Amino acid sequence: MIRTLSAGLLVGIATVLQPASAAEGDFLKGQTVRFIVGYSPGGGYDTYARMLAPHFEKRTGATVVVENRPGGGGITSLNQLFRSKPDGLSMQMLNGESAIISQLTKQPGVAYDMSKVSIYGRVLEEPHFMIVNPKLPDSLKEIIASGTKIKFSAGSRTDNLGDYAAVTCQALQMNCQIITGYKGSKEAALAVMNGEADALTISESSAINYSEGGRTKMVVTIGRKRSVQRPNVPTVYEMFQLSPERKWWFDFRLGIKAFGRVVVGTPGIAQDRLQYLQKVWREILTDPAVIAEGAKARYAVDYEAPDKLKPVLEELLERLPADKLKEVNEVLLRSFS
Amino acid sequence: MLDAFLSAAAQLLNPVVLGAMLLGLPLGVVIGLLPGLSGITALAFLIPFTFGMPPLVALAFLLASYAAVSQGGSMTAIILGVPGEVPNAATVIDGYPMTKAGRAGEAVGAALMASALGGLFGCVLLAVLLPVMQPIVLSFASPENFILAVAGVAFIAVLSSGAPNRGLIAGALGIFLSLFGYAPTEGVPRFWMGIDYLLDGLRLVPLAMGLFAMPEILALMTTGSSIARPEGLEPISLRQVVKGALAVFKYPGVFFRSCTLGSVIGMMPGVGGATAPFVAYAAAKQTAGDPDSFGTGRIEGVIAPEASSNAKEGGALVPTLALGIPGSASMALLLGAFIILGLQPGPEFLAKHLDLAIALAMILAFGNVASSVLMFLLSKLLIHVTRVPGRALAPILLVLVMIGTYSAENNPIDVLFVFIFGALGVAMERLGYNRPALLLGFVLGEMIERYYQVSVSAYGAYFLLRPISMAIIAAALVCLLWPNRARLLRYWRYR
Repeated sequence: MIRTLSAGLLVGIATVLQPASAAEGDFLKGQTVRFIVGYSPGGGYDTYARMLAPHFEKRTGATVVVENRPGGGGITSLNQLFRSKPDGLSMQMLNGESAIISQLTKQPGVAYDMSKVSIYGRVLEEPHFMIVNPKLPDSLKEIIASGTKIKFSAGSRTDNLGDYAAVTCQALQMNCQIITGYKGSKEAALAVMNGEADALTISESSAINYSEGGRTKMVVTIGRKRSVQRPNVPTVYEMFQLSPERKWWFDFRLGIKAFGRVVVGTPGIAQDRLQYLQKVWREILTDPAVIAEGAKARYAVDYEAPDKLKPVLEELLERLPADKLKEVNEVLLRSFS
Repeated sequence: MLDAFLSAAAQLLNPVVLGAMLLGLPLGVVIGLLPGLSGITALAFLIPFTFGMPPLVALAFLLASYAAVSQGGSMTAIILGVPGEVPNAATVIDGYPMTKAGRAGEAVGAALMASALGGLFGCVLLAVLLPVMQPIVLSFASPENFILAVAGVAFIAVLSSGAPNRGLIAGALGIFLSLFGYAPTEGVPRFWMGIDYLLDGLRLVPLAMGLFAMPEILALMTTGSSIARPEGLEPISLRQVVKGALAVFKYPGVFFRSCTLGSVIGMMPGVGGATAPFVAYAAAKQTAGDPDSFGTGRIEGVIAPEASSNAKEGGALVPTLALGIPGSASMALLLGAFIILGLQPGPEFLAKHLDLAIALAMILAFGNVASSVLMFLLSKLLIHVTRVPGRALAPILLVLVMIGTYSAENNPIDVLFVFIFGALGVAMERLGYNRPALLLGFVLGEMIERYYQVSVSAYGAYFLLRPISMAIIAAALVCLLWPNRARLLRYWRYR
């Protein structure tokens, strides 16, 4: 007992006496790090966090606790992270696209500023597709040429389904109606399958899953390059000759998409700590063992460095002209309803 | 098809799979006995343990424990008046008065038998529908969800036939409370007063716990007496439990109607599981000869919600397996588990792994029956709890309710709301307002708003003319008018 106590005391003294130039990352050793997930347990974000947490522990010596804080479509948990102490002991597995769209469209409840959060590294950016009811023509060109109104299903206007649909309709000048109110992407996909809606814009893994057995079909890739898994589906850039003005909408939305699923921390973390955390995450997310582990459970990892993401963020949140921002809000929130 | 059945049975008889089920059952029972902890919590808690297991073993473990949760929940509903999970709140209405009257054994027997057979019903239906279920699920869309919710609201009046005005007021209050937070279609928050917590509106678990558990806990605390007054009443015996179990066979109409309602509601992806037991309860009450005696300890009032609530799970697996679209919140979690295990439910899954799908139905059926047996063995022990003095029992229950509520979303504000809704529950009980009506209004209010707006956007006014919509409207009308059929006929002839 006494021995343990004195050992503890010695460790304590050693910690206090350590010089300021201690090895990088010492601030994490033996500490508990909160890894916040803005959604319920069992979903994609939660699974990613739980899959990556042990690797963070192994590399830093910290204990990671995954905390599920569902609410406000991820807004509330990001608000809380934004207000927490900048000690590097809180991080979040964030839906980066949704966080940026919510901020751009000034959704009620947004009390964070994405341009200030510390970005550690992007975990995954998935290609996006437009899927349609099997009764519709095979090619998007034919669908548009028919002139009939295309009904898109979505949860809300800013949930990565509705905003994609709005951008697609705006850029391709389609005759569209966006029906919001579906509970998440699964119910929105069901609506396309049973013909209640005609189309849905959705991430690759879901698109492939829902087009199994001919329940829906993928008509176009919303991205700059074709997907590796579905190389026969052309991109919007290939399919249409877009004027710069119309092309801007896809560029704008795909810029946000680059954030995908991203790990972020509190704003204002000391530079040395931030660099260390970014380094740790780069190591984790580029580690072939981690990538293989993810691939096995169908959770792909596709790292992007923070210094590549930051300029895009500044472009979007700080340099977007006021009239363009107004137009973005109009298209994302009100057009096609 | 037969091949698939035989192959499924052979896979289940593997000792490792059986072992996994036997391990899952007691875990589920314990989670079920803790108020507020639901099947969703059970799955969320247990899924991480299945990483690395072979798929069938993992799913056997998860489904067996999941099936056991609702059994545990109905026990606390009957014995303590505290619903173990939200759907069990409907069982409290008649189950708890039975306990107070010293008929706990009977109620427990009826609940266990009804849930076991209801679960079996759901699974048989699932197995039969498996090859043909894709078109069935696809024929339900938003208009059907909307009409079912409206029919549910009509049942609020039935739930409260003793005092219809107060029932309607309670139902309206429930609908009002459902309006807090994000509007379902515009995504704009209402009444949130700048408080982050209210962005998502008021939560179901604290509401159910506050309304149903808190008044009982308060009563136990203030009177200090035990739940069942033993003086002069028949002691709880095996005979009582068996008598209750056999009662299920005396009411085949109630049983089958409840099972069918439960399965259909389970199959509709948009309709929450909490609706089924209330609608089944109201239907049982409505078709009984003397509806006014419900709420005073009628055994049909226990059979109906329990049968429908377990039959619902078989139904909820239908869209999950056929389309990869979960039929309920817990099925969404289960779907996550499937994907982690390398399985992707959907039409191809059924074509390739029909035997696995049938094995899942069998596991669920086994879980329902086995957990009933387990509960039956435990029931004698649990019933002693009703003789514990209230002063000792109340604090324990209060702690359990708080832990259960907190763990639903790890949110301490939920615990605060248990007390706020608890005050509401006490007031409603004292003044004779119907608490189940409020809960039903709360659950259905959001559904009505959401699916009405989606239906109108997608179909215009024609959404009411879809064949299934009209069938549901007709069924609801028959059910509502049934008790007054004689009077209606007389009126018709008189004209």
